[in-house]
Amino acid sequence: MASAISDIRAGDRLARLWRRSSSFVVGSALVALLVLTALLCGVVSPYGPTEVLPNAILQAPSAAHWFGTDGNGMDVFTRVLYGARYAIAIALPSALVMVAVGVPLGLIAGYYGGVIDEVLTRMLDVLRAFPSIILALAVVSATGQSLVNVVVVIGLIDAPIFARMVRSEVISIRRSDFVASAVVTGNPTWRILFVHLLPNTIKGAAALLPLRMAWALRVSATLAFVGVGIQAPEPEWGALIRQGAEYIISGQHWVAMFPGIALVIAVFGFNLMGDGLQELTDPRLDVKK
Amino acid sequence: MRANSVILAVARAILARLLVAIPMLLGVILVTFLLIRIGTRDASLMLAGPFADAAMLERIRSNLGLDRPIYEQFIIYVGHLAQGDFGLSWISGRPVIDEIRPRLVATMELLLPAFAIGGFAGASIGIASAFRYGSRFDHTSRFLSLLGFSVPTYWIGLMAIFLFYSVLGIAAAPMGRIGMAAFPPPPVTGSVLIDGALAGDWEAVVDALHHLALPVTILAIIIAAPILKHSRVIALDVINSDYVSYARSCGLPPRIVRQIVVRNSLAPILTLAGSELTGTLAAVSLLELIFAWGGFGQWGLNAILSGDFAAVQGYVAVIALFSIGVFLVIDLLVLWLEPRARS
Amino acid sequence: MTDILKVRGLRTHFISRNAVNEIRTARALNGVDLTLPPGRILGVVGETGAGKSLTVQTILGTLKAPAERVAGEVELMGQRLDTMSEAELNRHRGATIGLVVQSPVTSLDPRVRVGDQLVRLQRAHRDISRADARARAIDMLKRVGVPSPQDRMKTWPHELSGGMAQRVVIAMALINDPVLLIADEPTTGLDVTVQAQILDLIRDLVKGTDRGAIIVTHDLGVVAQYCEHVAVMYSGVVVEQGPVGEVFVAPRHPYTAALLAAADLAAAASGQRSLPPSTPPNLYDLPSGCLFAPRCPKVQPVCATEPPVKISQPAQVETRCHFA
Repeated sequence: MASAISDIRAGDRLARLWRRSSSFVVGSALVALLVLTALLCGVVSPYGPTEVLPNAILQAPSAAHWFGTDGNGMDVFTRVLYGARYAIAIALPSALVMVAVGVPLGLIAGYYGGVIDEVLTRMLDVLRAFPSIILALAVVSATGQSLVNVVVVIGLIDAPIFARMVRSEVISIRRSDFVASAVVTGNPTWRILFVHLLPNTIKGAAALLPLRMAWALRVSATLAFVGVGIQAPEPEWGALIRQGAEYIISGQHWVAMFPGIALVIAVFGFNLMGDGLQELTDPRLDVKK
Repeated sequence: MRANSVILAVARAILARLLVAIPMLLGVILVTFLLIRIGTRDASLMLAGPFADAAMLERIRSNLGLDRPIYEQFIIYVGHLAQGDFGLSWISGRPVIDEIRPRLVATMELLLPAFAIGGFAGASIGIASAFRYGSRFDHTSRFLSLLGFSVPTYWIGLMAIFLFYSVLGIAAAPMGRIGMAAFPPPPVTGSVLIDGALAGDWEAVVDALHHLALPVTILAIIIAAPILKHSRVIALDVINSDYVSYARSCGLPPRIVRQIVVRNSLAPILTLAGSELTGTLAAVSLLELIFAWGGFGQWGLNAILSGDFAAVQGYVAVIALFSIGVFLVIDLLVLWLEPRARS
Repeated sequence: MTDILKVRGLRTHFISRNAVNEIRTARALNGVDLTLPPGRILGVVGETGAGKSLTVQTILGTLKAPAERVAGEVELMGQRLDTMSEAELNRHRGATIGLVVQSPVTSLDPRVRVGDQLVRLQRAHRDISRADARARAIDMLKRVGVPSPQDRMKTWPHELSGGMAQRVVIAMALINDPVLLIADEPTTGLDVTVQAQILDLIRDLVKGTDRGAIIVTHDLGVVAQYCEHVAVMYSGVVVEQGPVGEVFVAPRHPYTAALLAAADLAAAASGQRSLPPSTPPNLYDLPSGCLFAPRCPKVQPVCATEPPVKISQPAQVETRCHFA
């Protein structure tokens, strides 16, 4: 009985959220689907992710192989499902790197200003003017192709975006009374930065996260597609598309098509979620609909 | 008097842009330079091949200047760059600049028309969306732009090739800029399209257009997505500005109000498009790879893959120079469009 | 003679949804009545948030969502504006009704030279050649006291000072010979001499003609000096309206009295104390009786339950108070 009532309330809340930002709801659902796939792919998949079926090489989609098989005789459906694990393994830790590096940088630059701020802004200008995917390609290719490298490089390249967001937030509240009173009452600087200023920047950083995770997924897939980064036979979506590229002209589209669809759904999910979050946090859009 | 002040403003804008651009250029070059030196690959090993002995390696290293301190290497490298010398490719042994120059034309043949089409379409739909804020048109265009944001260039390229070449057979083979059996026109500019027109070889022009159609369309779509998203926000801000409310309160007809919005959105949209254009170089590189375009982007990606870091540095430096050039052009356009920027 | 403007029972609400998606209504205008006879200047006064500017927007029909006119009539020279189509209204805005805005610097189109904006506004409303429109524009700039108007025609808006921008906006408001001039805080942020010049200009334009003007302001001194009529607004209602001489000398509504006391104009005369320092009512949750009751020094039990109706007083004064 009690649970039935809370169910109604949950459904009601969802309906309200839906009316305020359908993007956020759909995006979150897609991201949840991604997480679920990553968790359950071991149970659901009919084959192993790198299991070779010698009698089923480059077969078109069928009841036995929903997404067909690739040139090595591996089941594409299984590999696409396992790709979700790579997606999570890239999106989450690289987001962690972005935040861990970018947020303190932004706090310091915003609080102290001066030379530190100047250097940071210049670095941002450089990054803004230079295609970041190419930077990632060059750096990963030079420093070695491993999952850890891919994650660290993506995280570092994107960290300045968080730094800039936090910086402008800090600058806008640095002069406010509560910071001044924190200084006057003798709080050490690190406490002011992390206890007083940090919480005020979390909302902005959180709204940014899904968008940047979408970007991280795209970049890692692009790296793998070009042949830098995670390599076949690992079931990373970009690597799968790379495998399928050679069969496109001869018409065996399924090897490249399905991992691409999975990638689009995941990236789109994160993008929708991020867009929705911004919609929810933007006061300007809070009007009758 | 008037002309003088215009020249002054232009000179000031160029100077301001260069002041930002030169440290940026040096920064990008330094970063790639350091990466390559710190990185796992060694030029001498690569040039010497697997059977070289220690003495030979040493000789190669000293020939390449790799035995000098790293800051000296950097100064020498920048000095050469300043003279337009990008060094020799580690793989082909040819000057990097000679490898870049002809390929750049092929890339621009893709990039410029795609940018013109995609930028125009994106900005128009974005502004139209802002006028219809909250309508079905607005929601649809936002949804499509977000989707365009999320689709990888190379994948949509592959799918388009599958559909239009393998299945429908209406697209040209994704193997270069002109049919295999066709004779390219005598090279003047390096662009098959323009050279064909100059030589009056209309067959070549049609063939070149046929090859351009698919990659240019895809690239235009990829470019349109972010421009649509941002121009919608820019136009929304303009629509909500004091001067647009005032124009409405003055009873200016909707046509003129629209004109005011478009004109005032233009400069910020252009600035934004500039930063998108440099990002587009990554997309164009990937498309070239898929369409075997033989342009600068494909060459650069191959250099990265094969570890030819002299070429990689050239690739990165040219991209940085290109983006500086683009920003400069945009700065001047904004100066021309925006009276506030002139004083 | 017909009144220039007649406004009856104007109600404007802000209808939005809150965080849990419930519809919330902020009742910003709660029945505004205004009358403006020809040849007169009407001053509209009240605190910030009393709905003065919103009244102007509602009259012009330029409300933006989530604001919405839910009731009321607007009549310009006997012609209903509130039932007009957008296209018909557009023929009046900027032509028969001239508007002087609060923020002239940000209200001029930044991409168009001053002269071209004046020309554009004329050609939007009447059939006039570019050359004639230019000549009229220069003439109008001269009339509003812009020095060397010929040169100013070529100026960009961002090059204007605040006072100059204000004059340009006045020139824009007058360029099409309006019957009604509405000036929303026309002199905020200007120094006193410029302020006086601009207000003199408005007075000269209206006096002895069949035109009328409304000046929205919170400066009671301006009203006392330039206006024949005054309307005092509180929380989206006109609580007292009448000839300035009557209203300012013998205020009948406690709010008017308090306002005057605060401005120290009639304080000595009436011995009134200023308002208790509390905020105006929450528009989302208005009291059911008199809106001023919670702050009124003369509040009675009936004030909390019964909304006061408009009462006609001697000498053309109208009030909304049970005890006026």
